[in-house]
Amino acid sequence: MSNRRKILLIDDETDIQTVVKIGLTLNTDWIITTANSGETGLEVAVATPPDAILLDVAMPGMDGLATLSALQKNTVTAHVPIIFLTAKAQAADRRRLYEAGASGVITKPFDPTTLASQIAGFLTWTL
Amino acid sequence: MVSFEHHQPNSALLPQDLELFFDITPNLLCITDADGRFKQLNVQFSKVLGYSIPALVGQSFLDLVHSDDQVTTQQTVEHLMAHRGTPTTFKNRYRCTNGGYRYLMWTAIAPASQTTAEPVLIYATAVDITEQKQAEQSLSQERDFSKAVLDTVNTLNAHKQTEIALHYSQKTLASIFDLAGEAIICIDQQQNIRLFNQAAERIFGYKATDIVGRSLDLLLPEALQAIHRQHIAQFGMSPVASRRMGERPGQVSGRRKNGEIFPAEASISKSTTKDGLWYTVMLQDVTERIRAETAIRRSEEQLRTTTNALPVLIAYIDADEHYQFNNQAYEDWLGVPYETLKGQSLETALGPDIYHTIQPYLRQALNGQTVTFEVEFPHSVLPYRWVSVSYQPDMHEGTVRGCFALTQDISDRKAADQIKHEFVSVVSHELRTPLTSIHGALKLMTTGQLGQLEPQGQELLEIALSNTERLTRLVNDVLDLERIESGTIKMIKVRCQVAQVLQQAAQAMMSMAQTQGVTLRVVPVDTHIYADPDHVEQTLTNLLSNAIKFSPRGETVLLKAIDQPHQVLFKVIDHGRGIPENKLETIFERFQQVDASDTRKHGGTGLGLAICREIVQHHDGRIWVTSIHGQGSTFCFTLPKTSSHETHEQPPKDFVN
Repeated sequence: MSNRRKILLIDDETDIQTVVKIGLTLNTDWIITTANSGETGLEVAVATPPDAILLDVAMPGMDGLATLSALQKNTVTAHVPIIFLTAKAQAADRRRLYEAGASGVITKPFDPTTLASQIAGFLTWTL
Repeated sequence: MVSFEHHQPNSALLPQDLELFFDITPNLLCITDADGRFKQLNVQFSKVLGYSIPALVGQSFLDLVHSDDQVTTQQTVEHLMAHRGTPTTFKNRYRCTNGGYRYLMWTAIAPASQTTAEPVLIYATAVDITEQKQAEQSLSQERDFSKAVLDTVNTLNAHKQTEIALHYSQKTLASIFDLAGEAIICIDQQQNIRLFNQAAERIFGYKATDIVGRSLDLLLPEALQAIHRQHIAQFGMSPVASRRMGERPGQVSGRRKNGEIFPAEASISKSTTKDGLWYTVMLQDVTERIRAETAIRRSEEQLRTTTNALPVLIAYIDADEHYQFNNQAYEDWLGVPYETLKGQSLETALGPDIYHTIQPYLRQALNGQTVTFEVEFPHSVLPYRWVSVSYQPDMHEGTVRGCFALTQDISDRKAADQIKHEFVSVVSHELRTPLTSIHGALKLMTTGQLGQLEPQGQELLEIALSNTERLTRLVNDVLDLERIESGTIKMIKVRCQVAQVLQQAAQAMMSMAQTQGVTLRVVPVDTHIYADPDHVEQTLTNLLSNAIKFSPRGETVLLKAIDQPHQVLFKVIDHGRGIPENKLETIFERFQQVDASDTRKHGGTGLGLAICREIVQHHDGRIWVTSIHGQGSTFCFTLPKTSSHETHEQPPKDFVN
């Protein structure tokens, strides 16, 4: 297989999934997988551990923080860096996400044309 | 003292409640300027002195003081101004509209002002002590006359063998009798009238010449004549030399010549004369006093009815933290009859939880400070969860005797605030999700990576994108403003360097300034403020963004800070089109812009200045703008150097980003 990076996007909004997917594929060669819920995302991540996970915070069922906690507890996914996507823009909200173990926090609405470089910045990847 | 906030209109409902308290207190309350001219008065001025309130406003406090008391009052006022912050108590006679005077006991204070620019005000409260003064005077008169009568009677006894002495003493007696303000009637053992002074003539309507030698019964209601006779005979046999007649004032009745029965206060004394046992009755007609007392009782009942009818808790707490007055509303809160609270300690009445929550504020009030606060009792089983409380110390001659307490249930308001806050929060969040998709999609299309559009198509796409961005900013600002207002965002105040805050704000706006071709110049100052650095930066960037937006290309925007004694003044100066005079006040309101088309042309939300104002006010600062239309604007705001709750300097805990 190629050494293309694998990104798992977990977000209950399919429109946002599409925007992220197009934005990233236009600017990188990353392979993007999507999941509609925290529960599905966890299954996908355990089955095929990605290089990074983009995780929505507010989701029905398992929300972003619960999913993060479950991913951290599983030895297969514990090392996978997680970047949150959140509509809460307050410094205190962001701080809480970093304290929980996030590698980065991106606030909605985000710019899909610079999303890839933002992610790469957090993970110190070279594009 | 009632205090009025000059810069910080409190969003709580209290000012009108204080106003109400201002109106229902039995004391006279007023505020004057440094020259003693009335600025504000309560309704008691009209009730006690008879003036119409508007007629007094602007008049001098000293003009109505009795001429004999002018000098001492003037000296007291000078003392008050020289010892700012110290309450002073003084008495004087004060003119009424009917030309008479009332004795007033004043307590006044000229608070130490925050800044030199603030005008000095004198706050004064007065109690009408006329009745008390009159009672004191009549008591001392009564004492003097009793003594004089007895002395004279004794002189009479000592010299009864000497006719000359007798004549002399009789003359003295007669003149003392006639000078007396109250009726003096001497009767002999047979209860026939022997002496009848001028006051007795006035009160009973008989001439002395008509009544001397006749029976005392003439002066008594018929029904009481027999019993009266018996009482006097008993007194004649008792070992006491004098006593008050009747148990209470007004219990003795007299009968005038015209048959009218009137309430009186009387005392009787006896002494042995050459003609046997004589009684001296001293009597006062208390018709007017009883009427006045009834009126006072009625007005007390009215006050009681009024306070009981109000849906707020009104109480008086003494210096030992015991209730001395509670209105009926306390029943709704504490579930016990309000009368049972009198004399109870607050700790017992309220329980330890509530008591310990409010105790620090109460201590402040009993130390002489006016305190207003909102507090939650989350564990209380009582019906009020959130209350707003106001304590006003009751000062007397420099000591605090207690405090007036006004407590209001604000649980419903807090619940409504909470619902509103949650609603705005949810709506803003829900709006952001579709905005993310729309914005992202449009942004990707404008890159051209997905195929080029016709120029007109591209233009429409960019319109859609820029408006989506504007909508996003609007949602963010609405949420921001709501969170600052509701207190969800806490201002985390620390001591921070002004130069550093200015630099960071300028840095953040540099690229916008470059794009607009505007020069940004910073004039820092080496001082500090006690503030939340993130929010100060937000205020500065909002103001700078406006200044840059409205500056013509090639102009300079100046950001400067000026060190002042207790605060730092920030200025953002531009040479843009300026603000017309009629907009200077409203510009800080939500969605108020100089030109309705500004939001479209300049991409603002109309909320930036409202956010700035909220932030500055949360720091106990002030924000304003000066402008010359066509020449530019200067936005100014002040921030304190120290915490408003502490008088001493904060430890040097410099803010580091």
